[in-house]
Amino acid sequence: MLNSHNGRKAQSSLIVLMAMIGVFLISLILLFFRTESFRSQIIKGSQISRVSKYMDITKGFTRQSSLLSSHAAAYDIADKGGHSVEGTRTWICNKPWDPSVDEVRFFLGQETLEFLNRYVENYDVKDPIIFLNNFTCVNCDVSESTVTTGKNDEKFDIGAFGSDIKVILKEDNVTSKNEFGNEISRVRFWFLYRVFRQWAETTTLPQDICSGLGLICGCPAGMNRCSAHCPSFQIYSEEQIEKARQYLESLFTDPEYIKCTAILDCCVSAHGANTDNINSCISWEDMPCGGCNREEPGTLCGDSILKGEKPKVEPITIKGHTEQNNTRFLKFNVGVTIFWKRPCLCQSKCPNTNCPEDVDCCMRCGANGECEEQCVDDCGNYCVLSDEPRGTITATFTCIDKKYSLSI
Amino acid sequence: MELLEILTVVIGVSILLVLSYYFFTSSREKSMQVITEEKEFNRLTNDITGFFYNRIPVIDKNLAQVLGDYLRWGENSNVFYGKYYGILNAKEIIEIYFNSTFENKWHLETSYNGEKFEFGFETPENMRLRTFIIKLPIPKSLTDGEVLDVKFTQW
Repeated sequence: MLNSHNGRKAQSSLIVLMAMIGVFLISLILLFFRTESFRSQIIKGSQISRVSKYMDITKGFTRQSSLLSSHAAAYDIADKGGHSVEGTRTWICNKPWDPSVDEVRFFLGQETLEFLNRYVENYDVKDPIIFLNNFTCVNCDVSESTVTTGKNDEKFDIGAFGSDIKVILKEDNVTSKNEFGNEISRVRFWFLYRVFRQWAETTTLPQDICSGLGLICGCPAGMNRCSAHCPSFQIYSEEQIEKARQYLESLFTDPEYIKCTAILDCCVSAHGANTDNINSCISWEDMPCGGCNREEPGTLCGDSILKGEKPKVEPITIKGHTEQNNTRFLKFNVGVTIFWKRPCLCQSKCPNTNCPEDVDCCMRCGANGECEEQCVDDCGNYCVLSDEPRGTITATFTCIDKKYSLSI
Repeated sequence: MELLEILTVVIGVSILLVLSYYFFTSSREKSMQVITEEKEFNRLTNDITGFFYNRIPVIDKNLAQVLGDYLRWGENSNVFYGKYYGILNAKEIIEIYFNSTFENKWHLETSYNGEKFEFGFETPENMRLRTFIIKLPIPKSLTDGEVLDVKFTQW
């Protein structure tokens, strides 16, 4: 009886023990799966976090590339004075002919895009595999009002669009849009543009050159470079260019950083028969120095179509001033082309003539100051003659801004 | 007989306890290792992201820009940033930035135009090193889009 009682007791304790072990093992297995799933969650989370970090760093790379591309583009576009097929863009073509904000914006965006995509093409990461495709558009966020009010004098924003990043890390594969805005600061591109534009619209250089055409009346017939044909006109033109340069420099509010130079690239004078029955300066259409340079802008990406057509003039390369400055300062070049013709207007007396003032005037003064050829005053103070002086100059005005150096 | 059963239970439970302890600690260790590794990776990549994004006050340039300018134009640790700012000690600025996170446990090196550039501290032997290759765009007028490999090591 006692043995059977003990045997039952032992059996029941064995059952309890087995049950305990069973529960324990089941809990252990459950815990094992839970822990494993927790661990794989951590690993998965870490993987996702890594992919996102690689994404951020790649975006950082493209942002940095866009910054450097903007600097390089600003340098290049400033050097060309905007953009032209060849040579420097003309800002004065007998009258103000400066590019609009949208026109410069277009070329600055295009050039930045081109440079940016070169960096993108050279981005090569194998572990993890990162695909970075080209941008389709870079737009400068400036407008007529922000530029003219000086808001973009020291900084401007750009937006880059159309690129994607794909990161492949083990079995994870994440794609993200790579579009961003970036502030380009300490670049005074739009400041120089603004001042040059103010200058082009207010300088009296075209009128001054027109006023000097009378000097050609005293030079021989024919056409040649001013230095050979009519040195007095060349000297006069150089003086007027220097006056215009000084005026340009005076428009800058911080002259300690800005230095401007001007070079007379070409000067040709001619003396021929008067074919136009007018007594003021008109364009000398087939002038030999070269025409006015500009390039038609395209459509701004993601923005309005450029408006406001400018007069079309066949682009001809200006030769001469091709100085390449290897510094990191922004150098803005602006081309000027002036080409006038008008009838000889005898406005002054020769030094040794005795003609009464405002009545008689002289068409050609001799070497000793005597009047060699008298013209009859039949139109007030002017004597319109059959002679027609023609003069053309091309000049390049350059300002270097040494306030900030560029990352170029 | 009863004593033997009790002994079996005790041994059985002990073995199960030891096994479960081993299992949990090793599993925890592995998880902790992943977490620690993740933390270190985040620390490293945060600094590298900041290298592209954080702008230095006053001069308003980021460190990637300063390093690029230094590699291209630097002379004796310095870069000239125009009349307004004058000369900036680029090497010092880069070292201050990485020292703030990694103290004296980092090393940065790259080569440009055949010249080797090094920043930070000597890489120790017999230590686990974490290396990240930073792709750095280099400034160039009329650029050809040159991209350099900058090796950043941390321990």
